[in-house]
This record gives sequence, structure tokens and C-alpha cells, in this order.
Amino acid sequence: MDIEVSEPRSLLEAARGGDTRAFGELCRVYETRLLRQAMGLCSNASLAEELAQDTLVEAWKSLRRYNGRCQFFTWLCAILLNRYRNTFRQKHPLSFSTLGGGDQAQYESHQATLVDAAAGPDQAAQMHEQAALMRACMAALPAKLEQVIYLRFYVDDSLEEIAGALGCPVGTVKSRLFNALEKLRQMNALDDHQENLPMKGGQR
Amino acid sequence: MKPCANQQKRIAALALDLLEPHPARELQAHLEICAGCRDYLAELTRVAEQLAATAPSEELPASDQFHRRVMARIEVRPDGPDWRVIWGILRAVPTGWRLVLPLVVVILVLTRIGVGHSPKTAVEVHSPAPASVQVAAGDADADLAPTVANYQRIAEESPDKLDELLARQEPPTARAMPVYTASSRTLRF
Repeated sequence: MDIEVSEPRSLLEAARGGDTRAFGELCRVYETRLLRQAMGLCSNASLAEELAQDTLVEAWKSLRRYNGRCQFFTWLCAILLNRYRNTFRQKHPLSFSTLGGGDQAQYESHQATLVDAAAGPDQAAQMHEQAALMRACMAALPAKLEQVIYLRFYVDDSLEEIAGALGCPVGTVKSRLFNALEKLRQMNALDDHQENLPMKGGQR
Repeated sequence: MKPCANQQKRIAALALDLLEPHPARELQAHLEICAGCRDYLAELTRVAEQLAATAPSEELPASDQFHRRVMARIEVRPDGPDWRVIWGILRAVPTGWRLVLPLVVVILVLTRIGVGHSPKTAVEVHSPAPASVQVAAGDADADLAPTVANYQRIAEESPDKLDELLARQEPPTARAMPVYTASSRTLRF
């Protein structure tokens, strides 16, 4: 993966020195991409905005801890996921089956954007279900495994970038990715198995 | 069928597109003869594809209001010292002074604490009792200040006089307490 050419190093240095205006300019560069990531996690526009704001404020507070071993955006995404996991998911758990009418419609609309527009209604519904299931499975992973899966598949980062963002060796990232994939496979297999079980009273 | 235990990591690496070309060719050769490993690769690949398909794609443009809110939260000065500014000042100072300055501050603080807790002098030990000790007006002994030196002088004159003086100078609330008398050399309750 290419190293981010547009990353404004001078802005970053100025922000590290306490220049709020420079950090504001940095925010402008990453806001929209960060909001997209937040939307992917929350599936709710107002929650996503709150999460992205919290992430930027947290980044400002801990800017000295950014070691430059990964792209600034990768570092922001690692904070975003941590905040979502530690705060937002507890306050606003996303349970597909228990969503209320308005939220469910919003969630379904969001999920519909994830599937192929050219697919037929049946296929789209199936992909929609699979996407929801995958998100639920990811949420069930241990934090360290969810981090690597999130950064690899959602932020589209290289192993080196992920290692830099998480402060661990590349070998550890690989190992966590393998473990995470294996756990997701097991969860998927379990779900397939449950789907194929006959329901009581001839349902399904 | 189960996959071969010694191939699982390589299969996961292949599914994640992380396997180098040479080991990938070796694994492909193995997959041609092992149905268990082929099934395992198919399952992991399906999971990887599903993950890629659920990646966020919806745009949510950041509004000016969003930006203003972030900046408002950042520009609020936190309570207490601004450690970022203090660190910036320290960084600007040459390395030698960077060590010396905190030491000087620590010594100053310790010196100040030391002055606050200096031991009392002999004069302070023999200072007069608080004004709350009341004495009877018009009585020569009662006018004496309640100091050890005065008590010694009265005791040399007569132990009974000292008893009387102590009884007069004793605060009313302390009367129920046991008193050691100079004349009897016993405890009186």
C-alpha cells in the first residue's frame, strides 16, 4: 500500500507543538473519511458524528503518542475503533433483531449500500443478511482480533501500517489475523449449522 | 474432512493474500491432493470475501458545524497546568539545564517544607500557657505564670503550696481526672 503522500507533516508537527489551528486543518483533511468509518461502525448518522468528534478530541489529547510508524489516518481509525468498542457499543449496542422501527429502517438502508446494486432482490437480501451477520461476528471477537480485522479489511492497511498503529511486531499482526479469520470461520460454520437445523413446529 | 494441522496457517495466509509466491506454489500442490485443506481454504476465503463486502462505503460529508464542534472542544483549556506548554518550554532549554531546572525546583520545594517544619527552640518550650488558663484575682501565688520554673520554686518552698496552686490553676473540666499530688506522692482520684 502507498504511503500517504498528502499527509501534511508540517501540520502534524505544528499540532504537536500545541497549535490548535494546525490541528484544525488536519481535521479538515481526515474528517470525511473518518466519518465514513464511524458510519460503518454505528450505522447511525448522529452517533457516527459523535464518535468521530470524540475520536478527534482524543487524538488531540494524545497527539504526542503518535509515533509516525503508520499513517495518521490509520492511527485515527485505531482510536475510533477503541472508542466505539469501549464507549459507544456499550451505550448503544447494535442488535439487529432488537432495533426499533426508525433505526432498523436506517440500518437496513445503510446495509443496502454495502451490497451490489446490480444484484437481484433475493441475492441482495442474502448479502444483506450476510453483512449483518459478519458485523455481529466481528463484534464478538476479542478486542485485539477485531482491531486487526478492522484495520486490514475496513481501513485497507498493510501489515506494517497495522503493526505501527498497534505498536506490535508484524508477526503478531499476522498471527492475530489468522486467529481472527479462524474464529470468524467457526462462527460462520456454527451459524450455517443452526440455519440447517429443523425448527420446532415445522417452521423455517 | 479436517485440514492438515501443519498447513492451517499457510492456508489462512493464502486466504488473506499474504503468502509469498514460493510457499503459495507449494501449498497449491498440496491442495490438489488434500480435500480437507481445499474445503478449509474455501471456508476461509468465503469469510474474507464477506469481510471485504461489508467494508464501509457510505459517504457522510463533514459539515462546517461538525468541524466547529470539534474545534470548540479542542480549544477549551483544560483545568490545571498546560503540560504541553510546559514540555515545549523544557524542550527549548538546552539539555544540561533540562536536568538542572527540575532539580532546582525540587530543592526549593524541599527547602520550603523544611523551614515550615523547623524544630521549636527552648524559648518556645517554656512559653507561657494559653490565655484560657485563668487565675484567681488578688492571690499572689495565683498570679504566677504556670511555668515549670515557677512550679519548681513553689515546690521548694512547700509541697502543700504547690498542691494549692495547682488546684487553683486547674481548669474546671479537668477536675474529674486523676491528679498526682506533690505532698502525698500518691495518685488521688
